[in-house]
This record gives sequence, structure tokens and C-alpha cells, in this order.
Amino acid sequence: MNAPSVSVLQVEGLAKRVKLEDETLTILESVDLTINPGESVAIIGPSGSGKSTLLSLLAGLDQPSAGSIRLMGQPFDSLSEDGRAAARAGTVGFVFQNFQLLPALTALENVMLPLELQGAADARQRAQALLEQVGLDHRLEHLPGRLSGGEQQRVAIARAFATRPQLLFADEPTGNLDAKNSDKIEALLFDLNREYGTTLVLVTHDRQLAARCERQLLLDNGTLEAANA
Amino acid sequence: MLKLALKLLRRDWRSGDAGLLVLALAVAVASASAIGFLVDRVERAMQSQASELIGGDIQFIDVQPAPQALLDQAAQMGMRTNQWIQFPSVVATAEDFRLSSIKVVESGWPLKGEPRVTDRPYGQESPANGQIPQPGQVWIDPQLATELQIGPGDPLEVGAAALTVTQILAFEPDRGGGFYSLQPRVLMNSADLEAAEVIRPGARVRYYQVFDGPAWPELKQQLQNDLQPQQRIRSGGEGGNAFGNAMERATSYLRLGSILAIIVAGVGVAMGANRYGQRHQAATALLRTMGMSSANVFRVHLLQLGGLTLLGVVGGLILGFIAQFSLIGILAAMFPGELPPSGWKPIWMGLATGIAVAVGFGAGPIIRLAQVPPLRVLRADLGSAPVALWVTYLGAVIALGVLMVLYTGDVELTLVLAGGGVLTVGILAFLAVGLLRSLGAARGIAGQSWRFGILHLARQPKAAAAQFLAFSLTLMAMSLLFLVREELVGRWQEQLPDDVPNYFVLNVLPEERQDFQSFLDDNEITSSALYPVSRGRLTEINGQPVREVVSKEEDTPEALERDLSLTESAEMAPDNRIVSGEWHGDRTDQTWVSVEVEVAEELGLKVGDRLGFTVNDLFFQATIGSLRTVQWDSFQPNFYMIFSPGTLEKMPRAILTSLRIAPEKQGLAREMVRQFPGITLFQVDALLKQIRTVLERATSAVNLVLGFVLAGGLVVLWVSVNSTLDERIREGALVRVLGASRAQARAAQLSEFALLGGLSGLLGAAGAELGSVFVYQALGVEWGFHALMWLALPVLGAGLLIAAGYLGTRRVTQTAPAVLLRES
Repeated sequence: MNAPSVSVLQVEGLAKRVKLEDETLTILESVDLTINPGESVAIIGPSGSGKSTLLSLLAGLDQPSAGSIRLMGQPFDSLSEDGRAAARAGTVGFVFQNFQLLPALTALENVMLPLELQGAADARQRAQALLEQVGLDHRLEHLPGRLSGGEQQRVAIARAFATRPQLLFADEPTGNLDAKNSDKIEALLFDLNREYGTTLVLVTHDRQLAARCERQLLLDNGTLEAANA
Repeated sequence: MLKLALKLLRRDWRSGDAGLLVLALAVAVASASAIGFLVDRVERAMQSQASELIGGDIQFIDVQPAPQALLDQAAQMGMRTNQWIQFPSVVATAEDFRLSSIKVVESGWPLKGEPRVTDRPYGQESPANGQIPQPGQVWIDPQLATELQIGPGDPLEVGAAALTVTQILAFEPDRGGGFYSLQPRVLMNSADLEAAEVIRPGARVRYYQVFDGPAWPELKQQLQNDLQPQQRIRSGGEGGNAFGNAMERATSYLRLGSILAIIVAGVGVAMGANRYGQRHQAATALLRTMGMSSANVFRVHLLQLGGLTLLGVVGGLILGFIAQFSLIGILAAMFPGELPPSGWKPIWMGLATGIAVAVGFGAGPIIRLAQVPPLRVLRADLGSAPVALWVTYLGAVIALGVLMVLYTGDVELTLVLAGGGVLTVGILAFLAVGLLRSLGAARGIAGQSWRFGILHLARQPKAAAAQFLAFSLTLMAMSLLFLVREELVGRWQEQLPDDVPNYFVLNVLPEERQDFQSFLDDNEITSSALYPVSRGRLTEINGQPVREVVSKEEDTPEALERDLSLTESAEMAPDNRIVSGEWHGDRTDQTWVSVEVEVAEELGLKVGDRLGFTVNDLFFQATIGSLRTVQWDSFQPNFYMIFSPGTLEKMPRAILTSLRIAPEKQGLAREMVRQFPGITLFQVDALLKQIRTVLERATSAVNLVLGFVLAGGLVVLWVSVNSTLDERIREGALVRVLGASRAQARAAQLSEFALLGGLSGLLGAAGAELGSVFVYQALGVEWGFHALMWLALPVLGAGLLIAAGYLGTRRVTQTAPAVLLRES
């Protein structure tokens, strides 16, 4: 691993507060975090600790109440919604707990979608190759409704890696799967991560899954600290 | 069970799921009650207007006075009544005499309508203000005044009575009938009848008993049940004249409008119920895992549906009630001082509609929830399939059939619409599936955002077909009503253009023809053709006397009751149309006659039959060359029988025509009578005005109903678009997470709306075209292909859905994509 020149993500004093009817709920107090290229980081914490909120802020899916985020050295939080989308395109990949495949598109088309959004001419070939890699070459033309949960998540992983992102966010990627499928998906995720040299940020409450990452961080009471794996 | 259902219902209400369904139901109920209310009142107001033409709601005509029992019964029913007597008789001055039609009236005449009088022929008119000729007085029409050269103050003998002319009767609202073939009119008081000694055995006397009051339909029904052959009944709204035709069509239109309004709202309910059903699968599966039986799930949902229906009906009735208040304002302006009160009818109609629509359109998806397997808790892909389209729409057709019978009692329109409806929905569904298939094939050639829209539709054929059907049915209902409106209003305007003739001229002698034509030309008066007319009777059909051919039991056709106006012409009037055979033109190889089609049907005549006619003592025969339709309400001379040229050359004849004298040139009428003293001028301005008023009101009513249905359609489109929003918000967020810009995400959504709208417009145009074939037939309107609609409706559909989609999906692109993470 080369010495990092620029960190992938640099977070300072990040806070998120939500206004309710009569009180302000603080979800994230003050989060500082630096993630270097090629690193794999697990964020763990009990339910309701704000893991998903943190992930959505890191990925630019939501606006922080305070603090700054730099993605690849560029300020991220000050960009507009469309600016953040453009910064994400081709740089950031996602794997969701509930897969989030588009039901009207086949497995192949789901994987092609981010490539097409980039205007890639060889989208079909690349998507097909990835689906073969995740062991779904016999399911290319199936709609998501016809696939099992494990298969759907494999399509989602293939889609996440399609644009060869530098940074991959995974939100409880095995949360909806049984033990056997969980193992398969975990293996796949870490294999591809190694192969593509992707930086991985993984949110989970599964300690075993977290242990496979190089670094574990515990989110509790709105602040982040190193966890003892 | 009830407690659970109520609790769930309260939660649904908070989540907004039930609101959509209730809103759609409320719209259905509101349109049913408001349009029901509108139709009811407009029908009665137009009926009242049209009844002026016969002086009251019903005329009972007999050869003797109406029996006392009938009068007692009518009084018991709260009907007003008045009698007048009509017969032909010769009236005389010291110098001259004329055969006239005498009308004997008593105080109270007419129950409806306002006669107008003047002091000299074609002079300034004023309303009679409830007056009738006093005993010893007569009023005469301008025709008789000019023919006998008399006016107010002059004496006139009617039979043995010497009476005095006091007014010129310029307009007689209930004169009715073929106004240009009538004898001159004399109006006298019933007190003078005995002294005149004119009613003798064998005289052609008719007693007209006129009834007026809200209970007239029941009275008419009773009279009809025991009607003797010599008796006749007429009511104001009946066909055969301009009023009747306009009213029948306008009434049918209003009913069509109310049915289409229900269809539109029903589509909204179907969409709402479907969404409701889909969204409740998870909760239902949960109830099942907790041990609730399928039967109990069914009961809970039935109770919920009942609760929602109740909410929708109550809300709809309130909405309808508010709509009624605003309608009253519009209606009162349209029908000043004539608006009858509304009853309970709109309320129970709204109630019936709400229940029928809820059950017919909405029950399917909700009851289907009972089949949700408990396993769905673990596997979201399980769940009861959306209800098959044909089940939903079969339920809907049955519900609509029941409603139509309730509303209209119009069997023909009901059957035509129900049959046409089933056929239309079937064809639309077939086309929708075909379109979806070919869409899937077309995706390769489209750009990215279009492809997204195409795939969305093509890959979820059941959901897409349901949306297609919903949108195309709504567009179809809207455009069908619009088409029929254009047809009716256009026809009404065409029927009475600004230059419609306002005078009929009779009795121009053949030798005056040249001079008369020059007079018209010199004064730039436009007229219809100058028809030579002989008075004669049809006496033989294929060599047999007419009285033997037409059986005694049947009503004698009116065409045989009196002399016919016979004419000859090489050219056919522009508003006539041949339905069988060929127009004779200037063929003179033998004597041809073209017969009006309704008379031909009454007498059983067909092309090729030989007819025998008697004019004075001359008998001649003619072969039927063609059958024609005639527009009796066109204010042009029209004839039952038109012969080939030369036929009437040896007969006594006079010329008849219609012409227009502009109001500012009224002096020309007097000048014409001065130059051609023998002619009879018959003014129809007042009648024209009366008819114009009815047509204008019918047009306003039709526009009002169209506006109502269009507004309802827009609400349903909006509700339908919104019912798919959750899914769209999720997908919009997802493509943005994958790197799409807001514009790209929105373009993908809008392309789908454009496709959905455009194709629904195409299907709707197909449906409306097909529907128009049936509806036009039921309304008696001639059908033609509507090319413009096929262009306009897809554009309109795409435009509407893009607009609704743009507004609705603003949330899609404004919602932060983080929603995807929170969902789990």
C-alpha cells in the first residue's frame, strides 16, 4: 500500500441536529474522522446511535448542521445537491441493506445504469463481466422480483463496483440475509474490495463483520471513538 | 373486531392512505348529487319553457269536452287546467269572407306562455298581460287582417254572431304545428260560442284540455293507459319540433354527462383502492402472523371499507351540497324566475352512487387483502397479486349498470352505454397490452431518459395497464362529452343561423312570380326557393284506397288527416337527405315523387310504390323514387311529398317561400303586402326568439355539465399520478445516489409521464371514437370520423400528465436521497 497523499474522506466537527416539535434532537455531536485510500473502516454502534445518519452525511446524501467534509481533498458539504451528485458519480459506490434495485430493470440493466449515467460506451460488456464475477451470469435478464435476496444483493454489489469507485459505502449489507448468504456476500465484498483497491466504509452492528475491516469505530452518544475489536 | 377495524382506520387516516380513497369517493358522490340535482332542475326548467309551446304541460285533445271525472282527478293532483276549442269556420266582413281556424278561449288562457298583440299588422307588439278577447270581441292574426283589409274597430261575423275586432294577434305561443300551412286565426271568447251557432253535428271540432302542474308525468301516464283512438296527448318535451328535439338531446346529454362523471370518479376510486390495498399488505401479513384468521382479516377490511365509504359519502354529500349553492347562482341566471325547488333525490342518488362506486370499483383490491400470506412478513416479494383488471372493471360495469338504471330509466341509452362500455374497455385493454409489448421492443432506439420511461411501463405490465386504462378512460370520458357537446351546440347554431328566415309567404299566384322575384331582388331580400304548392290528399296506395290500407285500429297518421301541401322541384333542399332510392332531379320519363321518410314508415311505403293523389277533382298517380329525411325545425319550407317538375302544371297552385327581412327593414313587409295584396305574410320572429332562448339555455346547461366533468377528470388524473408517488420518490433518490443529476432524474420521470399520457391519449381517442358511434346513435346525431381528436388527445394527455407529474414529482427531486437509508 502506498503512502497516502490525500485522504479519501476528511471530516471535522460534523454535527447533525433535527428539529422536532418542541425540542432539538442531536443525532451527531461532533465527529472527526479521516479515512485514507485503500483503507477498510467499520462503523459500529447500537441501533439508533446515528450510524445511518453519519453514512448519509459522509456520502453527501444529506446536509450536516455543522462541520465540514472533504471528499478526495475537495470540499463536499458546501456543494449543491447536483454538485454532490456529480462528485459522487464514478467516485462513490453504494451497497444498501435492502438492496435498492430498480424493479423495472433486469439484473444486467441495473448494473449498467451507473455506467450509462457516466456515458460509458462499453456499459453492457462491463456490466456483464461483473455479473459473471459475482456468479450471476445465468441471471442477466431476470427482473429483481425473480431473484432471491442473496442474488439481489450480489447484483447490488456488482452495480456498486461497476464504475470502479474509489470509495464504497455499505449500509448493513448482510442485514437482510440468512447466515449462509451473509457469508457469501461478505466474502464477495471483501474480495472485490481487495481486487479493485477500493476504500470501504461499512456500517453494521454485526461485530463479526466489523472485525474483517482494518479499523473499527464505535458511534455512541453522537461521537465517534476507536473501538476495541 | 369493530374496535380493531376502527383503530386501524384511525391510523390509516393519520398516515394519509385512506384520504386518497375517501377523496375519490367524495368526488364521485359530489358529482352524482350535484349533477343529479342539476339535471333534475334543468330538465324541469326546460320542460317548463318548452311547454309554453302547447300552453301547459300536457294537452289532451278529443272530439268532445274532457269528462268531469278527469277534471276532478287533475284538481286532486293539484294541476291547473284550461280548455280551448278549435274548429274551421268561415268569417266574413261586408265585402269579403275567409275560411279561418277559430280558437275559442276562456279566461286563464294560456296557462303557459305570453301572447303578443299589436294595433296593426306587423306593427309594434306588446304582451297581452293575461287578457283575452272580451265577450263580443275578437282578435285576428295579421294574415286575416291583410287579407280582409280590416283592423281594430272593424266588425267581423263569426257564424251568426256579429263581433268587433279589438286587437291584432301578433304571436300565439301555443299555435304549434306546421305554421305555414295553417288557416288564418280568429280568437274569440267562449261566452260568444253559443250565439255564433257554429258547432253543428259533423263539424270538425277539437277540444283541447290543457293541464299544468308538477304532477303532469303521472297524469300523462294515466291518460295514456286508457286513450281512445280519437284522443291524443301532447306534452312539451316531445319530439317533432325544434323545442322537443333540442330538449330530448340536451336531457340525454345531461344524463350522459352524469354517467361519465361517475365513470371518471370511479376510476379515481379504483386507483385509490389499489394503492390502499398495496400499502396494507405488510400490516395485513403481520396480523396474520399474530394469529388472525383469513376470514377475520376479511371482516376487518370489510369494516374498514364500510367506514371509508361512509366518510366518502358524507364528505361527498357536503361537497355536493356546497356545489349546489354555486350552481343555483348560475342556474338562476340561466332560468330567471323558473327554477323549481330541488328535493331529496340528489341526496339518495349520491348515497346510492357512493355505495355502488365503493363496491364496484373499490372492493376488489381491499377484499383481496384477506389472501395475503403471513410469510410476506419475511419476504416482501410475496403478497397477493394486484386484482386482475377484468375483475375490477367487471365489478365496475355492474355497478354502473345499476346506477344508470337508477338515474335515467332510459333503457336505450343505458344498454347502448353499457354495451359500448364493455366493448370499449375490452378493446382498450387489448390495445394497452399490445402497446406495452411493442414499447418493450422500441426501447433499443430511444435515448436514455426515454428508455427509462419505456422500461418502467413495459416491465410492470399489470401496474402500467391499470394506469393506462385509468388515464385513457378518463380522457375518453372527457373527450366524448366534449365531442357530443360540439355536435349538439354546433347543430343548434346551424339550425338557427343569424339569417334564418323570419317570414313565410303564402299565396303568391303563379302569374305574379316574375314580379315577386323582382321585388325580392330589388330590395335585396334573401329567400328560399319559390315552391309551387297545391293542396291535395293522398288517396291511393298501389291502387288501393288509403283508408283500407291503413288499418282502423292504428292512429291515423297526421299526414292523412288534412290536406297536404304538394310541391314539385328539380332540386332538393340543402337540409334534406336521401335515405333510400334516388332523387328524381329533372327526370320526366314518368311522374316521380319523393316522400318524407317518417310518413313513409307510418304508411309502410317503399321506393317503387305507386301513390294516387287527388287535388280538387283531379286525380293523378306517381311512383316513389326516393325517401328523404327533412329538418322540420330549419325554418325553411319543407314538404312530405315533392314531385318531379311539371307534375302540378295543370293543378290550381300558389307559390310558397320563406324569406328574411332584417328588423331595421320592417317597412318592407308592409310594402310587399301593399304591392301583392293577395299574398299572406306569416311572421315567425317571436317563435324564433322563443326557440333561440331554449337553445341558448340548453347550451349553457350542456357547458356547465361538461365543465363539471372536465374538472372531475383533472382531479382524478391528479389523484392517480399522486398514488404512484412513493415508488417514484424512492427511485428518483436511487438514481441520484448512483450519480444522476436532478435534471436527469426528473427527465426520466417525465418521459414516463409523457409516454403514459400520450399513449393514454391515443387509447382515449380510440375509446371516444368508438363510444361516439354508440352515443351519437342514441342521441340521433350523424356520426363522422374525428381526425383532429386523434391528434389533439395524445398531445393533451401528454401535456396534462407532464404538468401533473412535474408538480407531483417536485418532491421526488427535493427529497434528500438519504431517505433510502432510513427506509430499512
